[in-house]
Amino acid sequence: MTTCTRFLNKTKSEERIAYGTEQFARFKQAIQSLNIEKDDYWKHSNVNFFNKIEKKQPKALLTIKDKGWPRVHSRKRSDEKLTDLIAKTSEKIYPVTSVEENNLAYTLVFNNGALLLKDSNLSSESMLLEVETNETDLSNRYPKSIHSLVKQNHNEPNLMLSLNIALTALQEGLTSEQHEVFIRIPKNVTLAKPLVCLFLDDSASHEKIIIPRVHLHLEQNAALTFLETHKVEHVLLQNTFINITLEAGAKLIHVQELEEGANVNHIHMTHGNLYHNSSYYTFSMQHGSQSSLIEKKFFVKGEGANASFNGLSIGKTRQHFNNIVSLHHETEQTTSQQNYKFVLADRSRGAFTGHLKVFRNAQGVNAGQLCKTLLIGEKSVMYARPQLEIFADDVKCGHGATIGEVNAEELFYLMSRGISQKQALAILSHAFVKEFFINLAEVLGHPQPAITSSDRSTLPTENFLKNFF
Amino acid sequence: MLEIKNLHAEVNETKVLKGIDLTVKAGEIHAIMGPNGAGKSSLSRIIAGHPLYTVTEGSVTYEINLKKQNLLTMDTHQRACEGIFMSFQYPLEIPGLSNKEFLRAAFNEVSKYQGSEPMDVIEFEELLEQKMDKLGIKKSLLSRELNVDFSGGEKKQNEIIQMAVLAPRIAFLDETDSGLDIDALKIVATGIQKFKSNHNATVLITHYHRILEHIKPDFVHILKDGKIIKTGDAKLALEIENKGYQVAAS
Repeated sequence: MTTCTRFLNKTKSEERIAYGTEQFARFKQAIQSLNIEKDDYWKHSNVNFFNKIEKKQPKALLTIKDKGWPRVHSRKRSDEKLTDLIAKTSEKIYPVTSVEENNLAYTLVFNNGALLLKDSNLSSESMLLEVETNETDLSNRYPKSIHSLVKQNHNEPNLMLSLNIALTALQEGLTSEQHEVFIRIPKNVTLAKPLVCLFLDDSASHEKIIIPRVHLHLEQNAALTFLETHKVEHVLLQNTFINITLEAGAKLIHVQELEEGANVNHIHMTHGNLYHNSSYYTFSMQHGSQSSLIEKKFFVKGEGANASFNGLSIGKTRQHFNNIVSLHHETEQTTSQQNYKFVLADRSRGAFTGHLKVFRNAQGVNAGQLCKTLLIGEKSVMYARPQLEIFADDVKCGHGATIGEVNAEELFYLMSRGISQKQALAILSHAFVKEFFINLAEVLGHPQPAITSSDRSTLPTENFLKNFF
Repeated sequence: MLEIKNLHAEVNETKVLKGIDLTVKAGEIHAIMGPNGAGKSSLSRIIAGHPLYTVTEGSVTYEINLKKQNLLTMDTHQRACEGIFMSFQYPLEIPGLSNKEFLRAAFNEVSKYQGSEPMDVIEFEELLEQKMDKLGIKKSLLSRELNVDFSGGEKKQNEIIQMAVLAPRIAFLDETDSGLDIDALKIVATGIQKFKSNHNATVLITHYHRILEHIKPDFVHILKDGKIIKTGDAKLALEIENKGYQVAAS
């Protein structure tokens, strides 16, 4: 597909500012419609909105006040200065009881951001999978709860984490217990079935904020396929936090699909530490919600570790999708790939920030970063910022971004064969993104998906059309 | 079946057609020959409904169910569904789209338009099998991505597969014979011959007499400078081959 290419690094600064302001306003709107005093942090920094949080999470708030609200497009990366950030947890904690798993998967159901035991299928007796919500019991074994996490990683506090903690204070009226879940896969265990986290909500969370957190710890040589599905409908803002630790030789396939309701805003964060020879593969797909941000912050700490980031965002109407990958190669002989694609219809907007940092002693790193966009809508907009920050000498790193429209000749070719314009656009979009599904099928070990009787009569592109346009 | 009257058209403010008159009836084969830049490709693209071309004067009427309709007001895909087919001089490559999937999508869209049931994967596979056997084209083309890494000859053969699957009423074949070796030319010519019936018509746009040895045209037209300047029978093609356009036209 021929695409006209332009590097968005050249985007005018006014455009960026306008864009940042708009994103800012969305969060503002999300926060303001909560049952809290308005008028307003956004004009004066010392405000009522924060008073409420301040009582519960003073330090987290301090960072936000100090550094400003986490911004999607901050131009500087100096937003991560050293700040002491220790916040106390105030959640009640319950242990998970064991339930039978079903045939297809181990399932954890979260309703309104909290783990729902009766709908979850787990077999903790088998000891293949340990799921706990009792942080105090586990604190010795799992020291990396969200609060300790803000301190680790070279003492670089993270604004997104601070946001997550700060928002916890606003959870009143919802079940606050069990929204932080700890999962551990023991040494040398490979789970045959995937672990599924399903995020749902009901009218109780209407216009509220929910903050589910999952800590996933794979011990040495453990392997897991982890699927996350977000289908919340009522909440105003979901702020998901996933914390991943892969010990030596561990292997994780992490698939996430964000298909929330049309009025939902979602900030999804994944933090990870990858040790010796571990392997992480992720594919995230955004197509629900009115705006969602997927941030992935990974630290590649062990020699031989590999990380592969893949993302697909399909926007329509006025949806707004953002992907941020922040990847630190801290040791030598580590590899990573980033491959992101956006298909934007109508007036939808997309943004990609890929930040790749190679430390001074990390020789022999091989890393690639690519973001491609297909603009279908006349008024759709894309912002791409691929960035490399390299301090080592002997590395192989590449980055690039393309943004293009549908080729008019290709469209004519398809239409001259009787295919309507809408269908032709769907076919071309599908052709553009198909590689992700092929890769995923290969990674999951199903090279050729079999044709079932139900999809015999429909084309993949028809499904694509039905689901996304 | 198709009646073109005094057709004037332009693209990017350049006049490409300056008064074409052409009538094509069912069962006929027309050959349009002419020097480079005469407007041959433009004519077929305008009939197929390319959005870049603007018709400034004249009319194109197309007979659908014995009623004469104005073709120029129809959408590109609608024309295709009504049986207008144009084979591309340079078929496009579309990575990520499987050839078979594309053929089925096109076939089903046309079926849907014409009011018949769409085919599922298995049924369509059978239909394709029959068509491919008839044409004598190797089936490995089907499992590849649409025209991606196809040789020039394979691309042209692929156009013939599309024609066979869609079974149009009138086919404009834009230099389908260019760049083909002798075997590929035979395959393409056989395809066109098999397509011929009393209910459909073919318009061959070509530079060479070679393909006309396989397919005997009923009419040969010389198109030059946006106009048809001479019309004759198959002998005219031979004359052009021997003497060039200048002499043949005079």
